[in-house]
Amino acid sequence: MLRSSSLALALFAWPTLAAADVLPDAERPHDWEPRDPPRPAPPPEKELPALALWLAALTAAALVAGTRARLQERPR
Amino acid sequence: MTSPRVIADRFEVVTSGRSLKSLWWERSRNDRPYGEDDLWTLAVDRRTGARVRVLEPPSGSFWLWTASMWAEAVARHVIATAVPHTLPILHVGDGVVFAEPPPAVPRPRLQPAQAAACALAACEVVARLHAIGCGGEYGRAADGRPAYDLPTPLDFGWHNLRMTRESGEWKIAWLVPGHLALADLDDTPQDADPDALARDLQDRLDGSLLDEPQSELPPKHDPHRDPIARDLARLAGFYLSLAPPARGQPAAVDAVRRLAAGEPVVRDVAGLARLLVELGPAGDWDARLAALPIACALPPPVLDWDRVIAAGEARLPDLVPRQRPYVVLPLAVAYHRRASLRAALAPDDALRDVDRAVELDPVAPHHVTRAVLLDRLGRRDEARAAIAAAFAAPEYTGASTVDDDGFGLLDAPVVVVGDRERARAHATRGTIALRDGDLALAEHDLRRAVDLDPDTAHLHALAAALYARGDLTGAAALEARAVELEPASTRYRWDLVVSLHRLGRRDEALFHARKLEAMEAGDPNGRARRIRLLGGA
Repeated sequence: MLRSSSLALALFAWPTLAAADVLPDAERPHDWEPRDPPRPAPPPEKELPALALWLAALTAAALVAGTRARLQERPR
Repeated sequence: MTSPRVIADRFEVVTSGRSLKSLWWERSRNDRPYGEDDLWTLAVDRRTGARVRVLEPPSGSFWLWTASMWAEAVARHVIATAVPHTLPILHVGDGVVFAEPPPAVPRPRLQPAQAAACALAACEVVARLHAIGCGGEYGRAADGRPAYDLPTPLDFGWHNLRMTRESGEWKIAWLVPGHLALADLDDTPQDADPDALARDLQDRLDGSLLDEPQSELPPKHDPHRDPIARDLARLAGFYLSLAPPARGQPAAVDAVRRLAAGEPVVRDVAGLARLLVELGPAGDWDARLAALPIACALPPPVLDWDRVIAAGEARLPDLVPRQRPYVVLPLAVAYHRRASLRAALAPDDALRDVDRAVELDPVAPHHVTRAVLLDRLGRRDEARAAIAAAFAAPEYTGASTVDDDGFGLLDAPVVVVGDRERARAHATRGTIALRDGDLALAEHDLRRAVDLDPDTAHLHALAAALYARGDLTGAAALEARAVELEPASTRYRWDLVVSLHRLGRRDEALFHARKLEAMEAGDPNGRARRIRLLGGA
């Protein structure tokens, strides 16, 4: 009786003993992990509102016209 | 009769190396002593007929796969960069084949100049290893025995860091990668040279030698110290083991003593080498010192990931389920590492790698990388599923992982996800939601990402979410912070200009627009933007 219960105990405990005896735990090597894993792409670039673009174009045109006029005035 | 095992069609195995454990067992059972030859695989080079020694993990030692990969990577580095003062390596792959080393001899007593020359040679080896992330001697357990599963293939004991005498001069012949099991022989008592003992006694009687117990040199192993500091102490200890400190020696010796005792006298190997030059023989050391790589912090280990992945995949079919985690877990990490390296230039290849990583080890960081790559490739539905899988992984849900065998003994440990990785996950989900137009979820996740890791990319993404929801003031504040942290980014500055412009804060918008114009001078892509800026201002 004693012998069979000891055997049962040994069989039951075997996986624990086998694992605890020699083997270290399986691990993910920390040093191998990427230091800079891929990150999400940035959100799309902002655009100025259409009205602002129209105003921008008009202002730019006015600036260019003004500069030309002043250049023509110089020789006089 | 079976034919002998042959390595690389060249090295004919004579006897295979034994594990220390089996040798310890035999010694205790049969009182059979063992020596160095028992621990090596001995072979003969068919080309030259010379004896060679093979460092290979004991047969079937699947749990040492990671360490073997690292040892082989170090061996390849030793060959490729011709690291001086190391034992020649003839072949790497299926173990490391060394030329026959000189016999291991206990540390001789040398004149300070000779000892410094040997220690300088050791510095030249270690500095080159530190440059590839190899440093910090093998860890030791509490009882002082080496911990065999730690993957740092460098040992300073006299069986690995060997000394040999050529034409009257002592030199080092270091086994790199080291044969860790040989460290077990370092503590075996040796037949002491009676002349050396008599000389030592006479020196002590004369008072020229300090009465310092030898056991304190080299220093005891401390696994919690920085690996470079640990190696510096070991190198200093190596010098002192050859030339024990004596009275009336230069100040450099005292510095070396303090370094061996753990004081931060120098920060890198080149610093120690400069100290040793003061003690060494006259010679042209400047060129040798200048050639030493400088590493104050150990970089991540340099491995050939293609080779690691190929070796791991080749190993998998031979493993039974309980052995698989020892190869599967590191192999998945290797795939993730390669995917990260390829992500920018070859996203399709990177996606294949991370698919395999997820298949092998479905942990949250692998799912997140997969979601990022799918999103970049425009596969939005799959990206959404991938990021959902990341948040459903045990790292986030706290569910336990149980192995197939039901015992849960060898189940894969849950990844400890740090704040940076959590922030990446939230930023990925938030960015995908932003593109999908789910602005509430986007703001929630991106706020979480900023809380966990307030870096510029997260600040900028959250600003985009706020801008899309109409909170221009909030967006401008975050963009201003991003510009402050990364003033060279034209992208962040442009988005700030637009927010300020829409808020009617024209002076501030003009200030940043002019900066942007200066930064983009000569950039054809910036021209249209500049025209808009001039007008907008």
